[in-house]
Amino acid sequence: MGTAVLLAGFAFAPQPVLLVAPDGRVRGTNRRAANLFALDEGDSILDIAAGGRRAIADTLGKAATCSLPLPVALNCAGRRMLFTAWRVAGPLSPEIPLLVLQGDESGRMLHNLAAVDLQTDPTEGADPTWPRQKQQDMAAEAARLRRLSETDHLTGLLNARGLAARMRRDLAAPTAAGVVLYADLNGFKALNDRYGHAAGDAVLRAVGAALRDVVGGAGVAGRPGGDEFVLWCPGQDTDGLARLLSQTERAVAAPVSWQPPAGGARVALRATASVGGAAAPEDGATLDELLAVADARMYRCKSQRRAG
Amino acid sequence: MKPAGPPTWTPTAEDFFADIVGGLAGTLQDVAGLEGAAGFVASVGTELGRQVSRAYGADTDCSDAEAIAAVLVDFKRRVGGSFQVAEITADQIVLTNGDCPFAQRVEGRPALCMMTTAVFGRVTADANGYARVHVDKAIATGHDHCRVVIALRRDDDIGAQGHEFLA
Repeated sequence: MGTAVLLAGFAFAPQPVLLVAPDGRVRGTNRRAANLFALDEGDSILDIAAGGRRAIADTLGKAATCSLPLPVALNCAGRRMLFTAWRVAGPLSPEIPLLVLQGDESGRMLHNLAAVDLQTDPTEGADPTWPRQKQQDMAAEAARLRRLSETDHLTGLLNARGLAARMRRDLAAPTAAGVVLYADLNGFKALNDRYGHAAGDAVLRAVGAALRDVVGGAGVAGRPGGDEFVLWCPGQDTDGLARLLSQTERAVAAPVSWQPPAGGARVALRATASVGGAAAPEDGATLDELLAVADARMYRCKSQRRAG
Repeated sequence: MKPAGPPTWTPTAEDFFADIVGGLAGTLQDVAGLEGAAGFVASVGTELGRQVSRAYGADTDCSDAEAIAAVLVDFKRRVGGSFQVAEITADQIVLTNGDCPFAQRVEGRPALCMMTTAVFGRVTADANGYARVHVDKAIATGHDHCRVVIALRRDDDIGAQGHEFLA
């Protein structure tokens, strides 16, 4: 009696609904669930548990002894579908506990997650019951986190991850062209040792700002780590590379006026850089090929500087 | 690479794991909603409640409200909470708490309160045969303390607040 009354209530619900006993035996399904699962009365949902028979049996046992709605996962045509299981109370289930499994949250959760995917319209495919403002807030937060994950926090330039993503994207075009410069500061450790890390950080920030000015709107600058900087200017050719090399060396050499945090006289900190460059497609077509060439040329420049 | 300096964040193991749990609950609540997140937390809390019952022998040796309350207070004290008994009658136990084991991580994350609800509910039901747990006030929702009411007798009033637990 109780099962029939309950099923009548759920018969036309848009979500799949199953009535099960605490041991997982099916006592009935609504139309939507009947279309999704080939389950007859008496069959066990333990056979279609997505997380294993033991796990779902344990959860059903918990749900049968409390009024909390608990999550369970079932396999549906090879896909995991989330359900909420709760105990039926009162006269509809007087003899043995019955559990209602309602498959609703899966779609909601997946759609809500899709709303923060930056590759898609943040509102497309999202659960329409979610307020639009909430969806936009989540998309904005996801964009902010992505920017943070690709930013060098000392200089505000791209970090290694951000640089690689940008260069790979630009180089993906069949006719991609561009130049990359690899700059490594000379004597940076000695500067750090003499004036301290605060002075070193001031130089890195100043060099970062200067290199941002060098590329302007023609490309991006990044600090993949330590005292190394990379410039990437898509669309530039070997003439542009030569020009950027000299501009980079001049920009780095500009003195940085720095005052120790504890006070005292201001000091003019001076840095120089060894710079190597590579051009696509002449020197390579991939990120790794171009950086390897630019890196080798940078080291050659550094060796020549040390030699003489 | 620049030589590593002294870290600016040096958490204890307890802080670190509390941060992980608090972060997971917050993310789950943001994505799945409060009810969805509470279900996941409750599932874990129910299992922990079973373990607490077994550990204290509460499923066999507790026979009165005072003994049950003592188990709940002692367990919470051991995990960093400071619940106190505010009231004990034959019908209910009322416990209050001035600081949460999750500290400020719980603010805005009431899904974590389901951990307390489930543990208290499971332990009490294992000992008493029935419990209905209602978190009346919660630091997570902006109160300056938590107040948890545990009803020990079944109330057929459909409007009775809280989550029920059976033995």
